[in-house]
Amino acid sequence: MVNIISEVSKEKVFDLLNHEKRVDNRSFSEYREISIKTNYINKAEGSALVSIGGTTVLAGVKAQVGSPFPNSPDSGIIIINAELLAIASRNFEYGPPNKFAIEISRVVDRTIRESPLIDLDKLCIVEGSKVWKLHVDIDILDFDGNIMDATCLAAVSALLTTKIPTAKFVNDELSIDEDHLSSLPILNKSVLCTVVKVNDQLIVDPVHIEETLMESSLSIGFREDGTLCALQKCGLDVLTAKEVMQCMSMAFNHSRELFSLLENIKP
Amino acid sequence: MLFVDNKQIVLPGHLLSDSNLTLGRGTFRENGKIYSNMTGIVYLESETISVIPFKYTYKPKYGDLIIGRVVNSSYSSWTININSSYQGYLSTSELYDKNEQNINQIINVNDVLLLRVANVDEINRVKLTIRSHGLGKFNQGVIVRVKQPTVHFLSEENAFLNNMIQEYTCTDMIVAKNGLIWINGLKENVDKLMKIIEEIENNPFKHNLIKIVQSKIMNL
Amino acid sequence: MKEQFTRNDGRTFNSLRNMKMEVGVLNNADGSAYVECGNNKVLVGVYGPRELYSKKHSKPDGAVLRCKYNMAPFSVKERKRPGPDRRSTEISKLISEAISPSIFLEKYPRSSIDISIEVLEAEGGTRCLGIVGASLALADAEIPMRDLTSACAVGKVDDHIVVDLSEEEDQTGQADMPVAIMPRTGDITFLQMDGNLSVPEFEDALKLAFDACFFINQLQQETLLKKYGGEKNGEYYL
Repeated sequence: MVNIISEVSKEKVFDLLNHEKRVDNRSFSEYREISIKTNYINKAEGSALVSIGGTTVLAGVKAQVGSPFPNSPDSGIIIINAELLAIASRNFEYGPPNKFAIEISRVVDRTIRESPLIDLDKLCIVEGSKVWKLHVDIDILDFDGNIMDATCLAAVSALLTTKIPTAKFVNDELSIDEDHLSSLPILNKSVLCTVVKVNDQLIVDPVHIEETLMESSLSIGFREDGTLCALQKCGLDVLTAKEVMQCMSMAFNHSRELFSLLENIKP
Repeated sequence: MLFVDNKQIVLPGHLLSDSNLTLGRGTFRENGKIYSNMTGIVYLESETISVIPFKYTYKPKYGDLIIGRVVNSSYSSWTININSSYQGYLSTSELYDKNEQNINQIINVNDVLLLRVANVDEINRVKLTIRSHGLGKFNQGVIVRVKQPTVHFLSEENAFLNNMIQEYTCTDMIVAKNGLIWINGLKENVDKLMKIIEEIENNPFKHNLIKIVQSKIMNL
Repeated sequence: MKEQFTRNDGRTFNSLRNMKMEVGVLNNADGSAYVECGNNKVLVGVYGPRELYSKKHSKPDGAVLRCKYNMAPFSVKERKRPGPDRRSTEISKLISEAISPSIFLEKYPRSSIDISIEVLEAEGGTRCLGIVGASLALADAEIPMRDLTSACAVGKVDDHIVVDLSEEEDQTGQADMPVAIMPRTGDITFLQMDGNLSVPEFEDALKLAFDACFFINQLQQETLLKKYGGEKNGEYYL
């Protein structure tokens, strides 16, 4: 994600920030318009197309029956993978996920797993041998900053609308009833909010140019009750303890906004 | 105010002073205070405070006399390993006046050269020169690699000692700034010289090192 | 209340496991460090700064910090498949971000500084030890730095905020939060959390992490001074 920005545009952004303004006339604590379109892909068990301003991501859930991990024989499996597609930006390349894509996948994974969004124990079909395996794949289609929040929102929205067939064991044989679909066992909703430090000021929902100039960022995962479920600091610069607490209150206010959006999603 | 003593050992981030001293090597200023940026010994001289690190690699500076080995040759330049983090470049135009058709006959890969640093630019590209009296290719002799304090001891502080050693051991010696020493002479004389260098190398900060070396030379 | 809580391994909420640090343990590396904490064993080597010939990767305005965190196959109970995986890729990125604010990278244009962190045995908290070791190894390599970086994990076990989580506490505890700071300024260079914490609990945990980092910083300083000279009246001289 190397990008070269001219000194002129850098100074412009910093100058605007010094006057409490941003490149797109938003306030420091204002999100761009968010749209969530669920059930976008019919072939997938669940899907969501989420856009935050110019950033568009698409999440799809595929469910398979598989064998559980040996250290948790009675719980289902959820695998989250984010891909930075080369069509999204001139700086992305095809190939195996790079460290940025892996970081996004893992932060979103922790937000969903630690919440916990889904009661994985209920996804067990036969203890020790057959469990549901949910693959959540998130493609970043268009990039204009703040992919972390968009990716998490898409993954959560897709999982909230996912319907899986009923699986039963009849005469030692697995039968999957494709006609009777059921929603996933949802326990807790969670969202991820990222606050970015640019020019020593804290802003939410950065656009691409602000993200390129950022010093560091803090992504915070919230449960619906306002407790924290994940944290991740990125970026090459530091944050002071005071800034961390400021980030936290800014992100908390935004998590309420995102939760109200998730309220409207019905399975 | 000074928060450290001369010759005290400090670590990265150690507060040295809050007065208006000149920054020497190994120090930096933050919010009006001076800190150390490496592990080393505080060295205070008049109004300059610096931290001398225990080990460091050679950093090229304009005018330094250095010894380097040719590692690559191209149409326009030779790439030269100068025992530093960065490689040096010797332009082929340096040899215009030699009037030779095939430059590779003069300087080949693996040749050892005595050079001077002609320029170091802001991104640490090191331009070397060979167009000066006494510079050129070594055809004989041995090269010894030493630590930076030894170089400092033999060249800057005690130039007379350098001459004295050469005289008493009947050898030729060139101490290059990049931690390499060229020695030429009879086998047994070279061995004697190596012993002296070893002594300096092992105790570079020792008290009265000059006297110790002097007595060693006398007793050869 | 908090003081009476004893953890499974007999420690109180604010005690660390036994730590051992050493610098200059490798012959070839420009700087190296070995850190032990409980049964964790981490070896760090630093090479560089050295000129980077690939135009694609080098930067004209500073050195590139390349960090590789690697776990030995025998370091954990179930054999770990050799080579990079998603976890180690993420940790490598985060450690290099945690270390880079402390280094004067701009002093070495077109070069790279390579840090290799080898986890020989893991028992919870290896990423923090990786940061502690990397910082020591960089100081040993005499790479100019603003400060040493210290790191420690805090977490929540049985509703208590505790420091330096063991492997068991890491797996069964309610939250795990590794933190790295530059102790001189108190700037946070690394912060990660997963689990369940309320905001006030987070504040407590952060304070505890700061205290632990200050303590670890003392150990780091002693380790470096021990290598270079003896003690004299509390101050170190040659």
